[in-house]
Amino acid sequence: MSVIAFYILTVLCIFSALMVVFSKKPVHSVLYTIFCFFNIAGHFLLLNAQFLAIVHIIVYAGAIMVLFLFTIMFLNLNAEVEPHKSNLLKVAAVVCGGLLLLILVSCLKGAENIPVNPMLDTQMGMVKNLGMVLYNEYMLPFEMLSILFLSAMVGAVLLGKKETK
Amino acid sequence: MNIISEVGINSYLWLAAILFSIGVMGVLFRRNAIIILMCIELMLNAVNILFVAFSVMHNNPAGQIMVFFIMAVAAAEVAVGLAILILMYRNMGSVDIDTMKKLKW
Amino acid sequence: MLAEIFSFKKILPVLVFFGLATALYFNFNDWSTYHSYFYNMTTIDNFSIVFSSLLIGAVIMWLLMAGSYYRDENKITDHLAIICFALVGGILMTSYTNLMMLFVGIETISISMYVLAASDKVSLRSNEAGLKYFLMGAFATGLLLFGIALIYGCTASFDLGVIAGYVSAGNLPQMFYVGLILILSGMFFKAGVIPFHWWTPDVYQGAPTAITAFMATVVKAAAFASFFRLFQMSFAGVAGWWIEILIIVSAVTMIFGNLMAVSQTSLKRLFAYSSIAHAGYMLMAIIACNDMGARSLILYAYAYSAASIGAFAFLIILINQLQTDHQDALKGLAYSNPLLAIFLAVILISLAGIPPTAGFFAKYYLFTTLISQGYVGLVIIAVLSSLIGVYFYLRPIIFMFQHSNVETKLKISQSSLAFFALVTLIIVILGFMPQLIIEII
Repeated sequence: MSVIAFYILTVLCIFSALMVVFSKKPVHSVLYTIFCFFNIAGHFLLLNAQFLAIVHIIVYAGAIMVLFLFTIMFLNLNAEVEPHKSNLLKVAAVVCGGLLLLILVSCLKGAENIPVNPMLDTQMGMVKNLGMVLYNEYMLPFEMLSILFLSAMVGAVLLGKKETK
Repeated sequence: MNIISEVGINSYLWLAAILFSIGVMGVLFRRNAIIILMCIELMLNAVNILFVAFSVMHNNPAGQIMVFFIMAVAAAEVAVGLAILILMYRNMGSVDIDTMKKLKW
Repeated sequence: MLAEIFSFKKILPVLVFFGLATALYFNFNDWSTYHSYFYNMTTIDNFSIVFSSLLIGAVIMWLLMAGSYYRDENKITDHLAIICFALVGGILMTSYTNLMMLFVGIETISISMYVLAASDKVSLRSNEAGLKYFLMGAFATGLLLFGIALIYGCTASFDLGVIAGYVSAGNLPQMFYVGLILILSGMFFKAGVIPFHWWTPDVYQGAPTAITAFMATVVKAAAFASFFRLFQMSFAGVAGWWIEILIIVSAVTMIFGNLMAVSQTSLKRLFAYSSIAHAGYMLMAIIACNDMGARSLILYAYAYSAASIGAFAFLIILINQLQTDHQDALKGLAYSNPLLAIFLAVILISLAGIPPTAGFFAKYYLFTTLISQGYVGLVIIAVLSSLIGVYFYLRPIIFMFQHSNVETKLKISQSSLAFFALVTLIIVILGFMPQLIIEII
């Protein structure tokens, strides 16, 4: 059952990722990205990472992609404005991507040999468990993340302000 | 049931590699800065899947914490990136990266 | 250890100055203690103390320099805040012992830099530099993360010590090497080294000059500190494998950076290419990968940061007053501003690596370190490429002594002259007494 779900999600995921790259209008790209992110959240659910699945939907689909949509609408960018991209460039990019994929896949073979931890803790991905780990072991990076956010916030305000002359 | 033992970690590696390559391809191939940004998000998500799969495989929560951090950083990055993009649009009236030719020797 | 102070505009730089000075003091309080904090997230050892003092010191110098740049602007509050946040990121990058901390540190410093590079909002060049830096930087972050994910997949841990244990146990899967290459390319990008260098000249030229100075000193030093730390602490076991990549990359970087710098007429772009070349030299310290390497990296980073902050301070004055950074603007400087010309000459000589300045001893120490490890071929390439460097660093000096029809007279305040004197003093002191830094750790 879950294997079938895995393959359905994977196919949808890859399809929508391809559509992000190849669709002409930016808004379509955004919508496909959101669809792709929902599929990825589905993958997280399959992997028993419930907390991350919810956070993924909230953060990515809820915040980041809305920001994208807002920007596109705000700047009125929906026109198909990509006048002269040469075919050569297209082919080159596809070849590059394909080569990268080939290299990655050929190098990643043999991962089965890594020992899998047989004990599966279905509770690991729950909020309680992750919270304990996050606020004990990973306290310092968490706090430092807040500095990163402060920096990003000040930066966004700095850039967004109108220049007063 | 453990999904990893059913489909194998290799399937997840494949999935992540494919998504990552699609993202890289998009970055190289599109000229619209917003779509490039989305392709970068795709790359980060490929990494997220990989982290969660490994985390479940090793039964180690650190990977999931990392995904949490990546999401946070991605959000900050997108906020800053879109601010720069809007700034650029205000000055140039376009987000096509081919117009960025001011800086050449 | 970390100072973030928000306050009123007038006294803000002073406050930040004293905050940073106290940070420096507390930094040295931890001398030789080797504590690790927060479940082994960071470890304060002498390497990290020396490097974080370099970062804090560079920010103090930057503050002294930028005072004149920001004099009549009210943006200084925002900029100072972001600079302080970036400094926090940089300090994380020098003292981490966990890949998660590395990631957070790199992102903190990068996001601050994206903003600052674009911060001259009316200038198209600055916008463009910001956007380019942002897109390339985010892409590199993706590569770095993919690498970290693969390493995590092998080792089930982010801790550098655990990874080192895994490496020394041997029998590594292929996945590990792929991860290593991806991490390498991410780090190459952040350090501005060859296959991933294209953003450097554009961003350095487009960003506001004060920000470029910050990038060339603090960001570069932090990137190399983290690079060295990562590869010495956790991947030393597979050194034979990645050192070959590094040798090729560093040789190509040195040659390319120096050759490209020769043909530049814009001084800002010249310094950008020369920073690529210097990155190539600093990579050599990582190749050495031992205590000697750490010392030569530190000495080199100190010498390079001091000299380049002086050079950029000069560029700020030049661009502010003449609206150009073309090298012709230097003509006749030795006659109109003799004192400034002498200071600038010392700075350039140090960058070129001519005795008796700090730059020479840094290079000398680095080369002897590598020769003692048997990398003679690489050292020969390095020496040859620094000969090219001598040519283009001396060219501005020659320009200064040429007479020109247009009389360029720069108005220099006493305080900025004092600043240049301070920089020159640091360079000469480090030149005569490099053991101050070398024997410290």
